[in-house]
Amino acid sequence: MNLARLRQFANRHLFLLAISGAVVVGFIMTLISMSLYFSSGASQLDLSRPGYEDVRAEVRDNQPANDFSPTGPLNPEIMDEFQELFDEQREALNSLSDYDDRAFTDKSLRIE
Amino acid sequence: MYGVQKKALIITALVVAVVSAPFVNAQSEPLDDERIERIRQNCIVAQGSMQRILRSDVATRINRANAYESLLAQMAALNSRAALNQYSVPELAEQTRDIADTFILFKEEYQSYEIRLQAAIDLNCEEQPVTFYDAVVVAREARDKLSDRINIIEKDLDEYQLAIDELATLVKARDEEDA
Repeated sequence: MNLARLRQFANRHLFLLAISGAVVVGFIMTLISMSLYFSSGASQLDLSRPGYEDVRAEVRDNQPANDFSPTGPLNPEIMDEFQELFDEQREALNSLSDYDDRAFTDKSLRIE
Repeated sequence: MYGVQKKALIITALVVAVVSAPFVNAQSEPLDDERIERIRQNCIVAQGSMQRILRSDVATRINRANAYESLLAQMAALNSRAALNQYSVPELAEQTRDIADTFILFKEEYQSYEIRLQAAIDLNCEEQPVTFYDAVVVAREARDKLSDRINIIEKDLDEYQLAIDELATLVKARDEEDA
C-alpha cells in the first residue's frame, strides 16, 4: 500500500525528484573531493588560495631543456651529456632555500 | 611486602614512561614573566613574519618537489640505460631508491610542518603567549626536520655522483676496448 503510494508520488513529481537526486549526488561527490583535497595535502600547495597570488610568480619551471632517454647506447659522450643535465639539476636545487632556521629564530621573530 | 610494592611501582613507572613517550611534545625552556610579556607584545608581528615564511616555504616546497621529480626521472633513465647496456653498478639503483624514499618523507613532513606553523599563526597569542611560544618551538622543530631531509638527499646525490663516476670509468674502458 505504502509502496504504491510512493510510486504514485514519484510519478507525479518525477522532475522534482530528478533535480533533488542530482543535487544530493553532487553534494556527496563534492564532499568526497574536498576530503581528498585536504587529506592528500593538495590544499597546502594550492596557490590559487587567497593571499597566495604573489607566491605563484615564485614557482619555477624546473624541467630540463633536454630529457635523457632511458634507451640507447652508452658511450663517453652520452655520459658527458648526462653529467651536464645532472649538474644543471643540482645547481637548480642548490639555488633554492633549504629551510635553514635563520628566518625562524626567536631573535628574528622578536620573541627572544 | 614493602619490597614487592616498590617493585610494582617501579615497573608501573617504567610502563607509563614507555607508553607515554610518543605523546610527549617538545617543550620550550621555562619562560620568565618578563619574557612572557615580551612575547605577548611582539607576537602579532611574529605571526605576520611567520605568515610570510609560510608563503615563501610553499614556493620552496613546490620548486624543490619539481626539481627532485625531474632529477629522479633523469636518474631512472640513466639506470635503465646502464642496465640495457649490460653495466653493473648497483649503487646507481640503490641511491635512486634512497633519494625517492627520502623525498616521500620530505613531502609528508612538509604537510606536518605546515599544519604546525599554521596552528601557531592561528593562535590568540596575546591571550596565550606561552602556548604560542610552545607552538613556535614545535613548528621550528618540524622545519628543522625538512632541512635534515634536504641534507640527506644532498649526501645521497653525492653518493650517486660517485656511482656515475664509476659507470663513466666502465663506459670509457669498454669504449677503448672496442676502438
